[in-house]
Amino acid sequence: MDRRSYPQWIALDNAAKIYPAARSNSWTAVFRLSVNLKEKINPEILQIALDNTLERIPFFGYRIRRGFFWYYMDSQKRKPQIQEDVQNPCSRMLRRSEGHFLMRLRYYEKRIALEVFHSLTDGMGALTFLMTLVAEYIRLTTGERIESGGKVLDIDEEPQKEEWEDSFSVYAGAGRRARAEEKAYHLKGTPLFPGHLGLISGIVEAGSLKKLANSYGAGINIFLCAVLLDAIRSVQSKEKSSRRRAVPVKISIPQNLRRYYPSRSLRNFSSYFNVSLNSNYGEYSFDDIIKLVQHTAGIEGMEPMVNARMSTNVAAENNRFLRLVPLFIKAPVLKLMYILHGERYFTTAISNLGAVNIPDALRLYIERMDLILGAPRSNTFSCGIISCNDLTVISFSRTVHECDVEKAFFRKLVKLGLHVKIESNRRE
Amino acid sequence: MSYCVHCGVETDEKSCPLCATPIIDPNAKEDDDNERRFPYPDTIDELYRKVDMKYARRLALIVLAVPVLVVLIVNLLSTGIISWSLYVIGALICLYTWFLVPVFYRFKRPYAYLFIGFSSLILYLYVIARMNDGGGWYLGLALPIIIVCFIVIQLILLAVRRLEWQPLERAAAVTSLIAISLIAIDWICDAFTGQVFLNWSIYALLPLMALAGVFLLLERKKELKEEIRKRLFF
Repeated sequence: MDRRSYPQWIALDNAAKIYPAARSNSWTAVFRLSVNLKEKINPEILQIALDNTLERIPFFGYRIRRGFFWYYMDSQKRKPQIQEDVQNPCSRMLRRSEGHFLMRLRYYEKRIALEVFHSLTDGMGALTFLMTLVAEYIRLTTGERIESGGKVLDIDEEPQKEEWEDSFSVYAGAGRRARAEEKAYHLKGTPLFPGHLGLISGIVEAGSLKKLANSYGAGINIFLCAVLLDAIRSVQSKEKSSRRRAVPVKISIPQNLRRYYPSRSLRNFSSYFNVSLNSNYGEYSFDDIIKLVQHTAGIEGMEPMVNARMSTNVAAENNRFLRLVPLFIKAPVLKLMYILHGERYFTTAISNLGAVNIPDALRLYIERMDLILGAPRSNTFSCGIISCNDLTVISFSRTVHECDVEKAFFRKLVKLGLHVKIESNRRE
Repeated sequence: MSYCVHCGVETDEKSCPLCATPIIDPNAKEDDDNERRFPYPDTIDELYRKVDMKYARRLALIVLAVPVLVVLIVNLLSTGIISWSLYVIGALICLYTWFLVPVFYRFKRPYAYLFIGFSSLILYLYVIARMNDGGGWYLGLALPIIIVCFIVIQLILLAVRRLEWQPLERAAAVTSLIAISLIAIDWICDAFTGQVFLNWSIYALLPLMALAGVFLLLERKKELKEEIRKRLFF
């Protein structure tokens, strides 16, 4: 495809619209995917690999701009420059000093980290970009050409129209679902310095984890959600206030909509559902919690349910009155709505990108991968999970000093017989 | 390979990241500590102390714009002209300048806030006077009293901010300024009614001036001041 026939600007998709309006210095709407290679990173070659990858997936080099009614992504001649990694990842994006890009690429020792503003893409889109970039980096450093497949795109291929498609509008139907839910339990804590994110990552063997999850009749995702619900519930049970003990614990679980529809979009195409555990009803055993997550995921994972939720959001965006309101009025109102309702209905989010599907030739160069979700706005922590080369990395990011949930979570895994190695970004 | 004795997790750090229990490896050499690689570098990306003021300002303006638009439309629909809605709009502008401007806008010195606040009050009262043919009370009473209050509060601020003065000297200055402002207000009220005869302000002036005198005296009598401080210690 000719560079000129590539769109010079792209309207934000349904999921992306809220982020530029609602973002702030403390809530950055940024997530991070990183890959640890077996050799130290060469920054010069990494910059070339980034430039080449941007030729293949050009909209990752776009900037965000304000229209009269909505924000949009606009092409620009400048190219993002790689940066050295920092101790506090997922900091504010769209800085003037960084050229207003929606992504940044960082490196440290053997690690390449891609930080993405959520308006640009979701985890799957970012994973495809990063894996394509890593394959190109390997080609440039070793001369070995990694065949495309899975999350690796052919770097010599022209950009495909479907890759920047807004799949929400393509697949939205007529079904509608009520969005109001019961308020969720929110943890409290001593805030970290604004802009700082506390990280604790637990590394476990993917094979052992799968075996353990299967012994409970569940997959890894269901099992880890259940462990997290159990951990939050144990922290909640120590609350002094009986009112706070009675509020349901809820976990928000993102769904990759590409599993349901034949979309090849590299932009946002994911939804979510909430799993709720109401301690008011009595004591739940761990098996009960697994069943609760499993059945909720089963119901919420049915295509009509998924489509109705997605379509409700698309319908709200297509409301004529809302569309005609100028952005300078709409943006603060959207932000206020997000502050009031955005994280009201869940205690935390757990995002699992699963086992990364990449060619075996590329797998040989990779040690492990990490997924870090940026700081939540009103909740105190979130959890990102990714598996690669038989290693599952469970990363908790938090905005408070206390890490009681992480402690309960990893202690539970150890108690269940898993070997867990812990890393953090703190300095002793 | 070191493990936390409480959490059972492996970690390379000196203390457990989960429970802060020290990780002690009796076989570890001093060099091991120097060779230890942190998973993240020392560099910290820019951190933010400030509140998102730009957003707060815009949101406050939009929140205020809603009642302004509503009363304007209702006023126009009911009477065909802009009349009583100006009372509401003026009051909202005053509220904005008194309470929101000091929060949202940062000036080096506080005198600007006073100037903006008093200016909006003067304009608001002017609008009310114009709408009610009240030019007399506005020029003869309201405007002079507001100006006196503005000057006195500015002077009080100046006195309070004179850090080279002792606290009791500043208290004496504030008390004297309040006393003088009461005299001025009494005089303005009398002038408006046509007969200048200072009355109630004298009764306020005398104890206030006496109090100012006591403050100054205490400031000079260090021993007495210390004695009082000792007795009133809490």
